[in-house]
Amino acid sequence: MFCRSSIVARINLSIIVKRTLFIQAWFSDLISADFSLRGKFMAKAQRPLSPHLQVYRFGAHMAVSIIHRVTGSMLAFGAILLTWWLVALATGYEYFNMVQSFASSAIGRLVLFGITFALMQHFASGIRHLFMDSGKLYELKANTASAKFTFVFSAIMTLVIWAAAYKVMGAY
Amino acid sequence: MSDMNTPLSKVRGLGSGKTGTETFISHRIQAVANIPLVIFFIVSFVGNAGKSHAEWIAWIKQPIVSVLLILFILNFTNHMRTGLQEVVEDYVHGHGNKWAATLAIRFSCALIAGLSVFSILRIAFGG
Amino acid sequence: MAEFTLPKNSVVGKGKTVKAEGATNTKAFSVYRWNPDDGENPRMDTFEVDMDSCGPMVLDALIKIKDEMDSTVTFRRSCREGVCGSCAMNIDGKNGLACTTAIEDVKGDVSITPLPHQEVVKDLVPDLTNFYAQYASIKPWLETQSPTPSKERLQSPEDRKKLDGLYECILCACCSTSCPSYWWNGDKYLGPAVLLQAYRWLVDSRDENTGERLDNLEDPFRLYRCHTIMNCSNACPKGLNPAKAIAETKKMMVERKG
Ligand code: HEM
Repeated sequence: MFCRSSIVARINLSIIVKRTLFIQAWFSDLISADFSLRGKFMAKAQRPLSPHLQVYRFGAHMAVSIIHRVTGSMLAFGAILLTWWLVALATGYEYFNMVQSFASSAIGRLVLFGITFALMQHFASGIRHLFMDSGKLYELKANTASAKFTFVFSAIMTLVIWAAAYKVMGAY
Repeated sequence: MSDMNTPLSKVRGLGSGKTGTETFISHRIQAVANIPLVIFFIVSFVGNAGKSHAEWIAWIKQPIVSVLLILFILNFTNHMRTGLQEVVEDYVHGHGNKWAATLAIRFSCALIAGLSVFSILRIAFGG
Repeated sequence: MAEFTLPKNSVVGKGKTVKAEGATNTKAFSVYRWNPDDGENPRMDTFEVDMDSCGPMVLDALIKIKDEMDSTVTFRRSCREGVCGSCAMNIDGKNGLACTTAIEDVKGDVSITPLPHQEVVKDLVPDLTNFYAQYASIKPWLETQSPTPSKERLQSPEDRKKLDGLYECILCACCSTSCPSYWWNGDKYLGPAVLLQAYRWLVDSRDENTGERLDNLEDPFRLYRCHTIMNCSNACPKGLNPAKAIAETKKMMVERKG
Protein backbone atom coordinates (compact mmCIF):
# COMPACT_ATOMS: atom_id res chain seq x y z
CA MET A 1 0.00 0.00 0.00
CA PHE A 2 1.24 3.52 0.78
CA CYS A 3 4.78 3.76 1.93
CA ARG A 4 5.65 6.57 4.35
CA SER A 5 7.49 8.76 1.92
CA SER A 6 4.61 8.88 -0.52
CA ILE A 7 2.22 10.02 2.25
CA VAL A 8 4.64 12.79 3.19
CA ALA A 9 4.87 13.75 -0.45
CA ARG A 10 1.08 13.93 -0.66
CA ILE A 11 0.83 16.11 2.39
CA ASN A 12 3.49 18.43 1.06
CA LEU A 13 1.75 18.59 -2.27
CA SER A 14 -1.57 19.45 -0.72
CA ILE A 15 0.02 22.28 1.23
CA ILE A 16 1.53 23.65 -1.93
CA VAL A 17 -1.77 23.38 -3.75
CA LYS A 18 -3.58 25.15 -0.93
CA ARG A 19 -1.07 27.93 -0.81
CA THR A 20 -1.20 28.40 -4.55
CA LEU A 21 -4.97 28.51 -4.47
CA PHE A 22 -4.85 31.04 -1.67
CA ILE A 23 -2.43 33.28 -3.55
CA GLN A 24 -4.44 32.93 -6.73
CA ALA A 25 -7.66 33.83 -4.97
CA TRP A 26 -6.04 36.83 -3.37
CA PHE A 27 -4.55 37.98 -6.66
CA SER A 28 -7.68 37.50 -8.71
CA ASP A 29 -9.66 39.44 -6.10
CA LEU A 30 -7.14 42.18 -6.44
CA ILE A 31 -7.22 42.45 -10.21
CA SER A 32 -10.87 41.72 -10.82
CA ALA A 33 -11.71 44.77 -8.71
CA ASP A 34 -15.21 43.60 -7.91
CA PHE A 35 -16.62 46.60 -6.10
CA SER A 36 -20.24 45.63 -6.50
CA LEU A 37 -22.17 44.25 -3.59
CA ARG A 38 -24.17 42.11 -5.94
CA GLY A 39 -24.65 38.51 -4.94
CA LYS A 40 -22.78 39.09 -1.70
CA PHE A 41 -25.14 40.96 0.60
CA MET A 42 -28.17 41.89 -1.40
CA ALA A 43 -31.04 39.95 -2.77
CA LYS A 44 -30.92 40.64 -6.49
CA ALA A 45 -33.51 43.28 -7.25
CA GLN A 46 -34.08 43.52 -10.99
CA ARG A 47 -31.76 46.40 -11.59
CA PRO A 48 -32.90 48.85 -14.25
CA LEU A 49 -30.79 49.90 -17.21
CA SER A 50 -29.98 53.61 -17.16
CA PRO A 51 -31.39 55.71 -20.05
CA HIS A 52 -29.09 56.02 -23.07
CA LEU A 53 -30.43 57.00 -26.51
CA GLN A 54 -33.42 58.41 -24.64
CA VAL A 55 -31.35 61.12 -22.96
CA TYR A 56 -28.10 61.55 -24.88
CA ARG A 57 -27.82 64.93 -26.57
CA PHE A 58 -27.37 64.68 -30.31
CA GLY A 59 -24.53 66.52 -32.06
CA ALA A 60 -23.22 66.88 -35.62
CA HIS A 61 -20.54 64.23 -34.98
CA MET A 62 -23.22 61.71 -33.95
CA ALA A 63 -25.50 62.65 -36.82
CA VAL A 64 -22.83 62.21 -39.48
CA SER A 65 -21.91 58.84 -38.03
CA ILE A 66 -25.37 57.30 -37.97
CA ILE A 67 -26.19 58.86 -41.36
CA HIS A 68 -23.07 57.23 -42.81
CA ARG A 69 -24.53 53.93 -41.73
CA VAL A 70 -28.04 54.71 -42.98
CA THR A 71 -26.79 55.97 -46.35
CA GLY A 72 -24.50 52.95 -46.71
CA SER A 73 -27.52 50.70 -46.23
CA MET A 74 -29.58 52.82 -48.65
CA LEU A 75 -26.84 52.36 -51.23
CA ALA A 76 -27.00 48.60 -50.73
CA PHE A 77 -30.66 48.89 -51.70
CA GLY A 78 -29.62 51.10 -54.62
CA ALA A 79 -27.25 48.33 -55.71
CA ILE A 80 -30.26 46.04 -56.13
CA LEU A 81 -31.94 48.65 -58.34
CA LEU A 82 -28.79 49.05 -60.42
CA THR A 83 -28.65 45.28 -60.90
CA TRP A 84 -32.28 45.24 -62.00
CA TRP A 85 -31.56 48.02 -64.47
CA LEU A 86 -28.48 46.24 -65.92
CA VAL A 87 -30.38 42.97 -66.24
CA ALA A 88 -33.17 44.84 -68.03
CA LEU A 89 -30.67 46.48 -70.36
CA ALA A 90 -29.17 43.09 -71.23
CA THR A 91 -32.59 41.46 -71.57
CA GLY A 92 -33.90 43.69 -74.32
CA TYR A 93 -35.64 46.75 -75.55
CA GLU A 94 -39.12 46.13 -74.14
CA TYR A 95 -38.22 45.12 -70.63
CA PHE A 96 -35.72 47.96 -70.47
CA ASN A 97 -38.37 50.51 -71.43
CA MET A 98 -40.65 49.15 -68.74
CA VAL A 99 -37.92 49.65 -66.13
CA GLN A 100 -37.11 53.09 -67.51
CA SER A 101 -40.71 54.20 -67.32
CA PHE A 102 -40.80 53.10 -63.69
CA ALA A 103 -37.55 54.98 -63.02
CA SER A 104 -38.91 58.16 -64.56
CA SER A 105 -42.24 58.05 -62.72
CA ALA A 106 -42.71 60.42 -59.80
CA ILE A 107 -41.97 57.67 -57.25
CA GLY A 108 -39.02 56.45 -59.29
CA ARG A 109 -37.53 59.91 -59.40
CA LEU A 110 -38.04 60.37 -55.67
CA VAL A 111 -36.22 57.09 -54.98
CA LEU A 112 -33.39 58.02 -57.35
CA PHE A 113 -33.14 61.46 -55.76
CA GLY A 114 -32.85 59.83 -52.34
CA ILE A 115 -30.15 57.48 -53.57
CA THR A 116 -28.24 60.36 -55.16
CA PHE A 117 -28.27 62.12 -51.83
CA ALA A 118 -27.24 58.93 -50.04
CA LEU A 119 -24.33 58.44 -52.44
CA MET A 120 -23.07 61.99 -52.07
CA GLN A 121 -23.45 62.01 -48.29
CA HIS A 122 -21.76 58.60 -47.95
CA PHE A 123 -19.04 59.76 -50.33
CA ALA A 124 -18.30 62.85 -48.24
CA SER A 125 -18.53 61.20 -44.84
CA GLY A 126 -16.59 58.22 -46.22
CA ILE A 127 -13.70 60.53 -47.11
CA ARG A 128 -13.99 62.07 -43.64
CA HIS A 129 -13.75 58.53 -42.24
CA LEU A 130 -10.57 57.94 -44.25
CA PHE A 131 -9.02 61.12 -42.86
CA MET A 132 -9.91 60.05 -39.34
CA ASP A 133 -8.50 56.57 -39.90
CA SER A 134 -5.21 58.20 -40.82
CA GLY A 135 -5.21 60.03 -37.48
CA LYS A 136 -6.51 63.42 -38.59
CA LEU A 137 -9.54 65.58 -37.70
CA TYR A 138 -9.62 64.60 -34.01
CA GLU A 139 -9.40 68.15 -32.72
CA LEU A 140 -12.99 68.75 -31.59
CA LYS A 141 -13.68 71.98 -33.49
CA ALA A 142 -12.25 70.66 -36.75
CA ASN A 143 -14.09 67.41 -36.23
CA THR A 144 -17.49 69.05 -35.83
CA ALA A 145 -16.80 71.43 -38.71
CA SER A 146 -15.91 68.53 -41.00
CA ALA A 147 -19.09 66.71 -39.95
CA LYS A 148 -21.21 69.74 -40.85
CA PHE A 149 -19.32 70.19 -44.10
CA THR A 150 -20.35 66.73 -45.33
CA PHE A 151 -24.01 67.79 -45.15
CA VAL A 152 -23.39 71.01 -47.08
CA PHE A 153 -21.40 69.07 -49.66
CA SER A 154 -24.03 66.38 -50.21
CA ALA A 155 -26.92 68.88 -50.39
CA ILE A 156 -25.14 70.97 -53.01
CA MET A 157 -23.86 68.00 -55.01
CA THR A 158 -27.28 66.32 -55.10
CA LEU A 159 -28.83 69.45 -56.55
CA VAL A 160 -25.96 69.95 -59.00
CA ILE A 161 -26.26 66.35 -60.24
CA TRP A 162 -30.00 66.63 -60.77
CA ALA A 163 -29.73 70.00 -62.45
CA ALA A 164 -27.08 68.56 -64.76
CA ALA A 165 -29.18 65.47 -65.54
CA TYR A 166 -32.20 67.59 -66.41
CA LYS A 167 -30.02 69.79 -68.59
CA VAL A 168 -28.65 66.75 -70.44
CA MET A 169 -32.21 65.59 -71.01
CA GLY A 170 -33.00 69.00 -72.48
CA ALA A 171 -35.36 70.17 -69.77
CA TYR A 172 -33.96 73.69 -70.06
CA MET B 1 -28.23 34.46 -14.78
CA SER B 2 -26.66 33.45 -11.54
CA ASP B 3 -23.21 32.46 -12.66
CA MET B 4 -20.34 32.81 -10.29
CA ASN B 5 -17.64 33.62 -12.84
CA THR B 6 -15.45 36.52 -11.90
CA PRO B 7 -15.97 39.72 -13.90
CA LEU B 8 -12.45 39.32 -15.27
CA SER B 9 -13.15 35.82 -16.58
CA LYS B 10 -16.21 37.17 -18.40
CA VAL B 11 -14.21 39.97 -19.97
CA ARG B 12 -11.32 37.73 -20.98
CA GLY B 13 -13.84 35.24 -22.35
CA LEU B 14 -12.48 33.02 -25.11
CA GLY B 15 -9.53 35.33 -25.70
CA SER B 16 -8.93 37.65 -28.61
CA GLY B 17 -10.21 36.59 -32.04
CA LYS B 18 -6.79 37.40 -33.56
CA THR B 19 -8.56 39.02 -36.52
CA GLY B 20 -10.07 42.35 -37.38
CA THR B 21 -7.21 44.28 -38.89
CA GLU B 22 -7.41 42.44 -42.24
CA THR B 23 -11.09 43.33 -42.56
CA PHE B 24 -10.38 46.88 -41.49
CA ILE B 25 -7.66 47.29 -44.11
CA SER B 26 -9.61 45.78 -46.98
CA HIS B 27 -12.68 47.89 -46.15
CA ARG B 28 -10.52 51.03 -46.39
CA ILE B 29 -8.91 49.88 -49.65
CA GLN B 30 -12.37 49.28 -51.10
CA ALA B 31 -13.43 52.73 -49.86
CA VAL B 32 -10.46 54.40 -51.56
CA ALA B 33 -11.12 52.53 -54.80
CA ASN B 34 -14.76 53.58 -54.59
CA ILE B 35 -13.88 57.28 -54.81
CA PRO B 36 -12.80 57.38 -58.50
CA LEU B 37 -15.28 54.65 -59.44
CA VAL B 38 -18.23 56.55 -57.99
CA ILE B 39 -17.11 59.72 -59.76
CA PHE B 40 -16.94 57.77 -63.03
CA PHE B 41 -20.38 56.29 -62.38
CA ILE B 42 -22.06 59.61 -61.59
CA VAL B 43 -20.46 61.52 -64.45
CA SER B 44 -21.38 58.89 -67.02
CA PHE B 45 -24.93 58.28 -65.82
CA VAL B 46 -25.66 62.00 -65.71
CA GLY B 47 -24.06 62.38 -69.12
CA ASN B 48 -26.23 59.61 -70.58
CA ALA B 49 -29.46 60.59 -68.83
CA GLY B 50 -32.56 59.96 -70.95
CA LYS B 51 -30.78 57.87 -73.59
CA SER B 52 -32.55 55.09 -75.49
CA HIS B 53 -31.92 51.35 -75.12
CA ALA B 54 -29.73 51.25 -78.24
CA GLU B 55 -27.68 54.24 -77.10
CA TRP B 56 -27.06 52.73 -73.65
CA ILE B 57 -26.02 49.42 -75.23
CA ALA B 58 -23.60 51.19 -77.56
CA TRP B 59 -22.16 53.10 -74.60
CA ILE B 60 -21.59 49.99 -72.47
CA LYS B 61 -20.03 48.10 -75.39
CA GLN B 62 -16.99 50.40 -75.24
CA PRO B 63 -14.28 48.25 -73.57
CA ILE B 64 -13.19 50.99 -71.17
CA VAL B 65 -16.79 51.46 -70.01
CA SER B 66 -17.52 47.76 -69.50
CA VAL B 67 -14.28 47.26 -67.62
CA LEU B 68 -14.84 50.25 -65.34
CA LEU B 69 -18.43 49.23 -64.68
CA ILE B 70 -17.39 45.68 -63.80
CA LEU B 71 -14.66 46.96 -61.51
CA PHE B 72 -17.13 49.32 -59.85
CA ILE B 73 -19.59 46.50 -59.26
CA LEU B 74 -17.01 44.08 -57.90
CA ASN B 75 -15.60 46.77 -55.65
CA PHE B 76 -18.82 48.08 -54.20
CA THR B 77 -20.34 44.64 -53.65
CA ASN B 78 -17.27 43.73 -51.61
CA HIS B 79 -17.40 47.06 -49.81
CA MET B 80 -21.07 46.75 -48.96
CA ARG B 81 -20.66 43.15 -47.86
CA THR B 82 -17.95 44.17 -45.39
CA GLY B 83 -19.99 47.20 -44.33
CA LEU B 84 -23.27 45.38 -43.79
CA GLN B 85 -21.40 42.66 -41.92
CA GLU B 86 -20.12 45.36 -39.59
CA VAL B 87 -23.66 46.58 -39.01
CA VAL B 88 -24.83 43.04 -38.22
CA GLU B 89 -21.98 42.54 -35.75
CA ASP B 90 -23.03 45.72 -33.98
CA TYR B 91 -26.72 44.98 -33.63
CA VAL B 92 -27.43 41.27 -34.06
CA HIS B 93 -26.35 39.37 -31.00
CA GLY B 94 -27.91 35.91 -31.06
CA HIS B 95 -25.60 33.31 -32.56
CA GLY B 96 -28.22 31.87 -34.93
CA ASN B 97 -29.56 35.23 -36.10
CA LYS B 98 -26.07 36.47 -36.66
CA TRP B 99 -25.17 33.56 -38.92
CA ALA B 100 -28.47 33.84 -40.76
CA ALA B 101 -27.82 37.53 -41.42
CA THR B 102 -24.21 36.86 -42.39
CA LEU B 103 -25.22 34.23 -44.94
CA ALA B 104 -27.98 36.47 -46.31
CA ILE B 105 -25.48 39.30 -46.80
CA ARG B 106 -22.84 37.07 -48.39
CA PHE B 107 -25.26 35.42 -50.78
CA SER B 108 -27.12 38.55 -51.84
CA CYS B 109 -23.90 40.46 -52.48
CA ALA B 110 -22.64 37.56 -54.58
CA LEU B 111 -25.95 37.48 -56.44
CA ILE B 112 -25.84 41.22 -57.12
CA ALA B 113 -22.28 40.94 -58.39
CA GLY B 114 -23.04 37.86 -60.51
CA LEU B 115 -26.15 39.26 -62.17
CA SER B 116 -24.65 42.68 -62.85
CA VAL B 117 -21.33 41.46 -64.21
CA PHE B 118 -23.06 38.84 -66.37
CA SER B 119 -25.40 41.49 -67.81
CA ILE B 120 -22.49 43.76 -68.69
CA LEU B 121 -20.53 40.90 -70.29
CA ARG B 122 -23.60 39.86 -72.24
CA ILE B 123 -23.97 43.39 -73.56
CA ALA B 124 -20.27 43.77 -74.21
CA PHE B 125 -19.91 40.51 -76.12
CA GLY B 126 -23.44 40.34 -77.50
CA GLY B 127 -24.07 40.81 -81.23
CA MET C 1 -30.74 42.17 -31.30
CA ALA C 2 -29.36 45.21 -29.59
CA GLU C 3 -32.24 46.88 -27.74
CA PHE C 4 -32.63 50.53 -28.57
CA THR C 5 -35.47 51.09 -26.12
CA LEU C 6 -35.42 50.60 -22.37
CA PRO C 7 -36.63 47.30 -20.91
CA LYS C 8 -39.99 47.40 -19.11
CA ASN C 9 -38.51 47.66 -15.63
CA SER C 10 -36.30 50.58 -16.69
CA VAL C 11 -38.84 52.94 -18.21
CA VAL C 12 -38.60 56.19 -16.30
CA GLY C 13 -41.73 57.64 -14.73
CA LYS C 14 -42.50 61.03 -13.25
CA GLY C 15 -41.73 61.50 -9.57
CA LYS C 16 -42.34 64.09 -6.91
CA THR C 17 -41.54 67.79 -6.94
CA VAL C 18 -39.86 69.38 -3.93
CA LYS C 19 -39.97 73.15 -3.67
CA ALA C 20 -37.49 75.37 -1.84
CA GLU C 21 -39.51 77.30 0.73
CA GLY C 22 -39.22 81.07 0.59
CA ALA C 23 -36.69 81.05 -2.23
CA THR C 24 -37.01 83.64 -4.99
CA ASN C 25 -34.21 82.56 -7.31
CA THR C 26 -34.64 78.85 -8.01
CA LYS C 27 -33.48 76.37 -10.62
CA ALA C 28 -35.12 73.00 -11.17
CA PHE C 29 -33.00 69.84 -10.98
CA SER C 30 -34.66 66.77 -12.31
CA VAL C 31 -32.90 63.75 -10.81
CA TYR C 32 -33.12 60.05 -11.74
CA ARG C 33 -34.25 57.97 -8.77
CA TRP C 34 -34.38 54.23 -8.31
CA ASN C 35 -34.65 52.42 -5.04
CA PRO C 36 -33.70 48.72 -5.02
CA ASP C 37 -35.97 48.11 -2.04
CA ASP C 38 -39.38 49.33 -3.20
CA GLY C 39 -39.70 47.28 -6.39
CA GLU C 40 -40.89 50.24 -8.46
CA ASN C 41 -39.71 51.65 -11.77
CA PRO C 42 -37.22 54.50 -11.88
CA ARG C 43 -38.62 58.02 -11.78
CA MET C 44 -37.46 61.62 -12.20
CA ASP C 45 -37.83 63.71 -9.04
CA THR C 46 -37.72 67.47 -9.41
CA PHE C 47 -35.96 69.63 -6.84
CA GLU C 48 -36.31 73.39 -7.01
CA VAL C 49 -33.04 74.56 -5.55
CA ASP C 50 -32.48 77.99 -4.03
CA MET C 51 -29.71 79.40 -6.20
CA ASP C 52 -28.97 82.25 -3.79
CA SER C 53 -27.52 79.78 -1.30
CA CYS C 54 -26.05 77.20 -3.67
CA GLY C 55 -22.51 76.74 -4.93
CA PRO C 56 -21.75 77.10 -8.64
CA MET C 57 -21.36 73.46 -9.67
CA VAL C 58 -23.91 70.73 -10.33
CA LEU C 59 -22.35 68.71 -7.50
CA ASP C 60 -22.96 71.63 -5.12
CA ALA C 61 -26.64 71.47 -6.01
CA LEU C 62 -26.78 67.69 -5.53
CA ILE C 63 -25.13 67.97 -2.10
CA LYS C 64 -27.53 70.78 -1.18
CA ILE C 65 -30.46 68.62 -2.27
CA LYS C 66 -29.20 65.73 -0.16
CA ASP C 67 -28.54 67.98 2.86
CA GLU C 68 -31.71 70.03 2.78
CA MET C 69 -34.41 68.46 0.63
CA ASP C 70 -34.11 64.66 0.49
CA SER C 71 -31.37 62.83 2.33
CA THR C 72 -32.05 59.60 0.42
CA VAL C 73 -30.72 60.97 -2.90
CA THR C 74 -27.74 58.72 -3.65
CA PHE C 75 -24.69 59.55 -5.74
CA ARG C 76 -20.94 58.96 -5.69
CA ARG C 77 -18.65 61.89 -4.92
CA SER C 78 -15.34 62.45 -3.28
CA CYS C 79 -12.76 65.05 -4.28
CA ARG C 80 -15.18 67.64 -5.70
CA GLU C 81 -12.44 69.00 -7.97
CA GLY C 82 -12.30 66.72 -11.01
CA VAL C 83 -9.53 64.45 -9.79
CA CYS C 84 -11.24 61.34 -8.50
CA GLY C 85 -13.85 60.73 -11.20
CA SER C 86 -16.51 59.57 -8.75
CA CYS C 87 -19.31 61.98 -9.63
CA ALA C 88 -19.49 61.03 -13.32
CA MET C 89 -23.10 61.19 -14.55
CA ASN C 90 -25.22 62.34 -17.43
CA ILE C 91 -26.02 66.01 -17.01
CA ASP C 92 -28.35 67.67 -19.49
CA GLY C 93 -27.85 64.89 -22.02
CA LYS C 94 -24.06 64.86 -21.84
CA ASN C 95 -21.72 62.82 -19.67
CA GLY C 96 -19.50 64.77 -17.34
CA LEU C 97 -18.37 65.24 -13.77
CA ALA C 98 -20.95 66.96 -11.58
CA CYS C 99 -18.12 68.74 -9.75
CA THR C 100 -16.67 70.41 -12.83
CA THR C 101 -19.93 71.17 -14.65
CA ALA C 102 -21.15 74.68 -13.92
CA ILE C 103 -24.87 75.03 -13.25
CA GLU C 104 -25.03 78.24 -15.26
CA ASP C 105 -23.79 76.41 -18.38
CA VAL C 106 -27.02 74.42 -18.44
CA LYS C 107 -29.91 76.31 -19.94
CA GLY C 108 -33.31 75.66 -18.39
CA ASP C 109 -33.92 72.75 -16.03
CA VAL C 110 -30.97 70.51 -15.20
CA SER C 111 -31.76 66.90 -15.95
CA ILE C 112 -29.45 64.36 -14.27
CA THR C 113 -29.38 60.63 -14.99
CA PRO C 114 -26.79 57.93 -14.23
CA LEU C 115 -24.03 57.12 -16.73
CA PRO C 116 -25.94 55.74 -19.75
CA HIS C 117 -26.72 52.10 -20.48
CA GLN C 118 -25.44 50.73 -17.17
CA GLU C 119 -27.11 48.66 -14.52
CA VAL C 120 -28.25 50.99 -11.77
CA VAL C 121 -27.35 50.12 -8.18
CA LYS C 122 -29.33 53.02 -6.74
CA ASP C 123 -30.31 56.50 -7.99
CA LEU C 124 -27.24 57.96 -9.76
CA VAL C 125 -24.93 55.06 -8.90
CA PRO C 126 -24.20 52.69 -11.80
CA ASP C 127 -22.56 49.28 -11.46
CA LEU C 128 -19.16 49.65 -13.11
CA THR C 129 -17.93 46.11 -12.36
CA ASN C 130 -17.60 45.23 -16.04
CA PHE C 131 -15.76 48.49 -16.76
CA TYR C 132 -13.18 47.83 -14.02
CA ALA C 133 -12.72 44.22 -15.12
CA GLN C 134 -12.09 45.44 -18.67
CA TYR C 135 -9.49 47.81 -17.27
CA ALA C 136 -7.81 44.92 -15.43
CA SER C 137 -7.86 42.84 -18.62
CA ILE C 138 -5.47 45.16 -20.47
CA LYS C 139 -2.85 44.75 -17.72
CA PRO C 140 -2.42 48.39 -16.83
CA TRP C 141 1.09 48.04 -15.50
CA LEU C 142 4.59 48.02 -16.93
CA GLU C 143 5.51 44.66 -18.45
CA THR C 144 9.10 43.79 -19.24
CA GLN C 145 11.20 40.87 -20.43
CA SER C 146 14.71 42.03 -19.57
CA PRO C 147 15.92 41.65 -15.99
CA THR C 148 15.01 44.38 -13.54
CA PRO C 149 17.74 47.03 -13.66
CA SER C 150 19.45 48.09 -10.48
CA LYS C 151 18.49 51.73 -11.08
CA GLU C 152 15.24 53.17 -12.43
CA ARG C 153 14.11 52.41 -16.00
CA LEU C 154 15.13 55.32 -18.15
CA GLN C 155 12.86 57.23 -20.50
CA SER C 156 13.86 60.16 -22.67
CA PRO C 157 11.93 63.43 -22.30
CA GLU C 158 10.54 62.96 -25.83
CA ASP C 159 9.26 59.48 -24.99
CA ARG C 160 7.81 60.74 -21.73
CA LYS C 161 5.95 63.39 -23.74
CA LYS C 162 4.08 60.63 -25.59
CA LEU C 163 2.23 59.82 -22.38
CA ASP C 164 0.80 63.32 -22.10
CA GLY C 165 -2.90 63.33 -22.83
CA LEU C 166 -3.07 59.69 -21.73
CA TYR C 167 -1.83 59.40 -18.16
CA GLU C 168 -4.27 62.10 -17.02
CA CYS C 169 -7.24 59.74 -17.46
CA ILE C 170 -9.09 59.32 -14.16
CA LEU C 171 -11.22 56.34 -15.26
CA CYS C 172 -14.49 58.14 -14.56
CA ALA C 173 -16.18 56.19 -17.41
CA CYS C 174 -17.78 59.32 -18.90
CA CYS C 175 -16.36 58.45 -22.33
CA SER C 176 -17.07 54.73 -22.38
CA THR C 177 -20.67 55.15 -21.30
CA SER C 178 -21.22 57.93 -23.88
CA CYS C 179 -20.33 55.57 -26.71
CA PRO C 180 -23.19 53.92 -28.63
CA SER C 181 -20.90 51.06 -29.62
CA TYR C 182 -20.23 50.46 -25.93
CA TRP C 183 -23.98 50.59 -25.28
CA TRP C 184 -24.71 47.79 -27.76
CA ASN C 185 -21.59 45.68 -27.21
CA GLY C 186 -20.18 46.72 -23.83
CA ASP C 187 -19.65 43.08 -22.85
CA LYS C 188 -17.10 42.53 -25.62
CA TYR C 189 -16.01 45.98 -26.82
CA LEU C 190 -13.46 47.45 -24.41
CA GLY C 191 -14.70 51.00 -24.88
CA PRO C 192 -12.81 54.30 -25.18
CA ALA C 193 -11.51 54.66 -21.60
CA VAL C 194 -9.95 51.21 -21.46
CA LEU C 195 -8.60 51.51 -25.01
CA LEU C 196 -7.02 54.86 -24.16
CA GLN C 197 -5.39 53.19 -21.16
CA ALA C 198 -4.28 50.29 -23.36
CA TYR C 199 -2.68 52.80 -25.73
CA ARG C 200 -0.98 54.50 -22.78
CA TRP C 201 0.95 51.24 -22.22
CA LEU C 202 1.42 50.60 -25.95
CA VAL C 203 3.34 53.86 -26.36
CA ASP C 204 5.27 53.66 -23.10
CA SER C 205 8.88 53.32 -24.28
CA ARG C 206 9.78 51.30 -21.17
CA ASP C 207 7.21 48.57 -21.84
CA GLU C 208 8.54 45.46 -23.59
CA ASN C 209 5.26 43.65 -24.26
CA THR C 210 3.88 45.91 -27.00
CA GLY C 211 3.35 43.01 -29.38
CA GLU C 212 1.49 40.89 -26.82
CA ARG C 213 -0.65 43.91 -25.93
CA LEU C 214 -1.55 44.36 -29.60
CA ASP C 215 -2.28 40.61 -29.94
CA ASN C 216 -4.72 40.96 -27.10
CA LEU C 217 -6.57 43.82 -28.83
CA GLU C 218 -6.55 42.17 -32.27
CA ASP C 219 -10.24 41.35 -32.19
CA PRO C 220 -13.37 42.37 -34.12
CA PHE C 221 -15.05 43.38 -30.86
CA ARG C 222 -12.41 44.44 -28.33
CA LEU C 223 -10.98 47.14 -30.62
CA TYR C 224 -12.86 47.25 -33.91
CA ARG C 225 -16.31 48.18 -32.58
CA CYS C 226 -14.97 51.75 -32.60
CA HIS C 227 -16.63 53.57 -35.51
CA THR C 228 -15.16 56.98 -34.63
CA ILE C 229 -18.50 58.37 -33.50
CA MET C 230 -16.54 60.82 -31.32
CA ASN C 231 -18.92 60.92 -28.36
CA CYS C 232 -16.00 59.89 -26.15
CA SER C 233 -13.73 62.79 -27.00
CA ASN C 234 -16.66 65.19 -26.74
CA ALA C 235 -17.54 63.86 -23.29
CA CYS C 236 -14.12 63.62 -21.59
CA PRO C 237 -14.13 66.01 -18.59
CA LYS C 238 -10.32 66.11 -18.66
CA GLY C 239 -10.19 67.19 -22.31
CA LEU C 240 -8.48 63.99 -23.43
CA ASN C 241 -9.05 62.37 -26.81
CA PRO C 242 -9.78 58.62 -26.53
CA ALA C 243 -10.94 58.45 -30.17
CA LYS C 244 -7.52 59.65 -31.29
CA ALA C 245 -5.77 57.09 -29.06
CA ILE C 246 -7.92 54.35 -30.63
CA ALA C 247 -7.10 55.59 -34.14
CA GLU C 248 -3.39 55.45 -33.26
CA THR C 249 -3.84 51.91 -31.96
CA LYS C 250 -5.49 50.87 -35.22
CA LYS C 251 -2.57 52.45 -37.07
CA MET C 252 -0.14 50.34 -35.03
CA MET C 253 -2.19 47.27 -35.94
CA VAL C 254 -1.94 48.13 -39.64
CA GLU C 255 1.75 48.99 -39.35
CA ARG C 256 2.77 45.62 -37.96
CA LYS C 257 1.03 43.83 -40.85
CA GLY C 258 3.96 45.12 -42.90
C1 HEM D 1 -18.03 56.94 -52.66
C2 HEM D 1 -17.20 56.13 -52.27
C3 HEM D 1 -17.32 55.47 -50.90
C4 HEM D 1 -16.51 55.72 -49.86
C5 HEM D 1 -15.33 56.70 -49.81
C6 HEM D 1 -16.96 54.87 -48.77
C7 HEM D 1 -16.35 54.81 -47.54
C8 HEM D 1 -16.77 54.03 -46.51
C9 HEM D 1 -16.07 53.86 -45.27
C10 HEM D 1 -14.75 54.50 -44.89
C11 HEM D 1 -16.80 53.02 -44.49
C12 HEM D 1 -16.46 52.54 -43.08
C13 HEM D 1 -17.24 53.28 -42.06
C14 HEM D 1 -17.04 52.80 -40.67
O1 HEM D 1 -15.94 52.40 -40.28
O2 HEM D 1 -18.02 52.84 -39.89
C15 HEM D 1 -17.98 52.67 -45.24
C16 HEM D 1 -18.99 51.87 -44.78
C17 HEM D 1 -20.03 51.40 -45.57
N1 HEM D 1 -20.23 51.64 -46.90
FE1 HEM D 1 -19.16 52.89 -48.03
N2 HEM D 1 -18.03 54.15 -49.18
C18 HEM D 1 -18.29 54.47 -50.49
C19 HEM D 1 -19.28 53.94 -51.29
C20 HEM D 1 -20.20 53.00 -50.91
C21 HEM D 1 -21.17 52.37 -51.77
C22 HEM D 1 -21.32 52.63 -53.25
C23 HEM D 1 -21.91 51.51 -50.99
C24 HEM D 1 -23.05 50.59 -51.31
C25 HEM D 1 -23.25 50.02 -52.43
C26 HEM D 1 -21.41 51.61 -49.63
C27 HEM D 1 -21.90 50.91 -48.55
C28 HEM D 1 -21.37 50.95 -47.29
C29 HEM D 1 -21.92 50.26 -46.15
C30 HEM D 1 -23.17 49.38 -46.12
C31 HEM D 1 -21.08 50.56 -45.07
C32 HEM D 1 -21.24 50.09 -43.62
C33 HEM D 1 -21.74 51.20 -42.77
C34 HEM D 1 -21.28 51.14 -41.35
O3 HEM D 1 -20.48 50.28 -40.96
O4 HEM D 1 -21.71 52.01 -40.60
N3 HEM D 1 -20.36 52.51 -49.62
N4 HEM D 1 -17.94 53.29 -46.47
